[in-house]
Amino acid sequence: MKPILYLPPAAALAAVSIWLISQQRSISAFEKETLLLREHLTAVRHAEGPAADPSLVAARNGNRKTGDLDPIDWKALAGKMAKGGNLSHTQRISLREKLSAMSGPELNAALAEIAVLGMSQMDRGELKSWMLLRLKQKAPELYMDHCMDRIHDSRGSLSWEFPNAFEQWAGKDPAAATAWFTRQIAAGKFESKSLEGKYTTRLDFEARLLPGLLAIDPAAVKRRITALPEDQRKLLFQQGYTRLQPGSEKSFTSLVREYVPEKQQPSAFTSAAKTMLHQGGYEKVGKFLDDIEVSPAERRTIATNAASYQIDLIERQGGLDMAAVVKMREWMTRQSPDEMETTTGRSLVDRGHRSPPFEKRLKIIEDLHAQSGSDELLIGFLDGNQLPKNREASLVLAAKINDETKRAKIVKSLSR
Amino acid sequence: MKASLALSLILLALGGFFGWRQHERLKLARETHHRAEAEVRASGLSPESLATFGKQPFSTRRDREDTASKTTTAKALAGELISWKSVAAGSDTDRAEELMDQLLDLNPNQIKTVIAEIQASTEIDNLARKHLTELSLNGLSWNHPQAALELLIESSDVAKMTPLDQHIISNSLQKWAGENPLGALNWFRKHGENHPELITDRTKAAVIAGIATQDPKQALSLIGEMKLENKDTLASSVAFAVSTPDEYTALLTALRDFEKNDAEFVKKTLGGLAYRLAYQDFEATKTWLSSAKLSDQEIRSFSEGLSYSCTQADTGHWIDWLADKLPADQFSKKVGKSVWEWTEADYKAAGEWMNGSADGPSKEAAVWGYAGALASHQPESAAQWALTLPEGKERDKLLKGVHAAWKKKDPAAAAGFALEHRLGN
Repeated sequence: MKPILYLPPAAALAAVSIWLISQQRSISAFEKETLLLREHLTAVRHAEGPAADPSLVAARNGNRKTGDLDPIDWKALAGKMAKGGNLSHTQRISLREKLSAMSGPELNAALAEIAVLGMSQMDRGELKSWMLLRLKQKAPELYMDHCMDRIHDSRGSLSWEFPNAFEQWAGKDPAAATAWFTRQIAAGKFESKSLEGKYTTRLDFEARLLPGLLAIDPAAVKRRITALPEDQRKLLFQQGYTRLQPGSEKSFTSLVREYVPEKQQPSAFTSAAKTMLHQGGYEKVGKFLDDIEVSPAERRTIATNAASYQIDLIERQGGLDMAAVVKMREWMTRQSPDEMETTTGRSLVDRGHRSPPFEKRLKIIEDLHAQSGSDELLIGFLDGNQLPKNREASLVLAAKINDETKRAKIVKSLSR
Repeated sequence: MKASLALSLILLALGGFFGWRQHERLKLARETHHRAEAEVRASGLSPESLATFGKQPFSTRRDREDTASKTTTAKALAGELISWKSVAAGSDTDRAEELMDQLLDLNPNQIKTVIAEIQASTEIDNLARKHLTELSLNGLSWNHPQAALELLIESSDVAKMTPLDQHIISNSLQKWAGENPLGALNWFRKHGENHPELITDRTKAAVIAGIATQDPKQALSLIGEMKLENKDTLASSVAFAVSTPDEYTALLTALRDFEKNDAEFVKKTLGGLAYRLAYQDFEATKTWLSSAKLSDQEIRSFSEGLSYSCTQADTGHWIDWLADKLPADQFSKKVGKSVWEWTEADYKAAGEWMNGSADGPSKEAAVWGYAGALASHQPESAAQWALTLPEGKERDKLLKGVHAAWKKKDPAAAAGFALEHRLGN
């Protein structure tokens, strides 16, 4: 073959290589420079940049009295934000400090002012959330009035922030919260809009008012309940906001006994017990059950649900281990010993999306079973463990069930 | 010689193919660079002086400030967090909000101090320690997403991430990618190699959605590379990431270019955008929509995202807007369902709209939903509305439905109604 024949492909290869390499270099150079520019930009935005608003920077150095701080020029601020000028971290701190120094009526007026300024929904939303947080702390009634026009709108975060804020207010100042709520009901703001005639929103607010009002005036709570349509009274106890204040437990029990059908009473008590777990753990719930004199059957239902709920909470926070399980078992032994093993097994079920992994759960069960030899422990655990990936190990564990009939049933369910 | 020339041509063709593909990447990199330059200029800085010399980002005045007082502030806040958590396990949610608000004002070094104090505290147990650390990182993620990610990776076992940890990672990635797409992307790629647990559909969606606020075209170009198992979350993340009319327009333009790559994703994102826009002021949204000039196909995809759960009090406005834009059968189904749900939730408002709207296809479609929802509660009124429809199969079907519901409530009245309209039993 003549050497000249190699020339065209060699030249083509060289040309293509040069072209591709030069393109690749250009891409890398652009990406590298872009990255650097963005890093500088981020640094500027998070720092006290040259475009800082002097009034905001000044605010940072002053004390927190409104009179000593320059008023916020909302128009200028909106103009800056509309042009894509993000606030620096320092500017944000200064702005928030200024907002903290404002009174309730000043915040209310500022909310009205920014509502009509041209800015993006996101910028307005962020400013509004800062203002509303402070308004809620300083002047809850103004905050409630401000939110009232969104009372029946279930879109956005205000749909849960507003009722939560009412609950907090009612816990701290039940008399003021009750007066405000009663005025709104009289004005027809909580009228049912649904075809079924269900007072969904009013029931939600009534349930959130109940713990605070019950602590100062149980008779007033009764009057409020009887003002509701008869078929909706029991629903008040199914809303899940029974954060009882110390000393209200017996009044609450009387209400449940009077207004909730017998079969649903354990569920109402469980709801209260769950909130107590957040306040004082198992001990508080145990004392509650002793104080309200529940029947053994009610105690079994409430204790089982409360124990499972507590383990679920611990699991969500990534802390489920042998120590947490032993603590729960000790408490269940005092409350409802017959249910202790089953509850333990069920609470360790692997649902496939949380830590710890199945192997660690299995190890806890095996260690406990080595001590107790309980069939109920294994059945509780295996009955819920139906994930295919766990099947083999589950079948090995199922072989340890002593009762032949129960073992066969579990093996059958695992083999499906 | 022929073989030699043929080989040369093949080489040139292959080079041309790969060159063309690289050219697209180069074009994108150049555009992204131009945009970054423009942003730097808009901030009053010179891109040349920053990029040419490869300097690291500025040290700030804040960095030079008295670190001692900042440390004191951080320690004080850590003390408050610990005491909040140790009293009734942090059940005072009002106080929690105040503390979270204060966390937003801290810089990364201060948050490090807060976390160190929490870790060293003997007043709380391991679970409370973990929870407070997460809350501190969550506060940091809002203003310093990169720092939050670095700290989280340093201080946590990635394999045992809690739901809150996962939220912090996604939130940080999305925010950071919105500020610095390449920085976030490089971090994600680099750490993904060592921590495959970080690479989930959720985190991928967060990175892409963050970039979409800056550069939707670049964001969409990453979808193929990222290999998501399920793109539904991505579609809604991207649609909810954009927040201004300019950003909606940029996203729409990018989606139009992307149609040929993944029409299903484009359809879902348009539906997600509709859901997102329905939350906002209707008139402003209408103005943007008229400027967007959606094609018939785009309107069909967009309307998929509209339902009573997002339109609520604006349901009537949206029906009017859709009236001349959707094919008749799709429009009727959409309106019937929306009005049914609206009537169940707020029958007075739905009724006012029904009474105020002009006769025509919109109203006929709405009668289906309105009378259908009323039937179980107010059958007589439902029957009157059903009778406003033109005679035919559709009306007969609705009348039979109303009659069935009426029979359960008042059999005698229902029988009279059936007789009058020859509906049988």
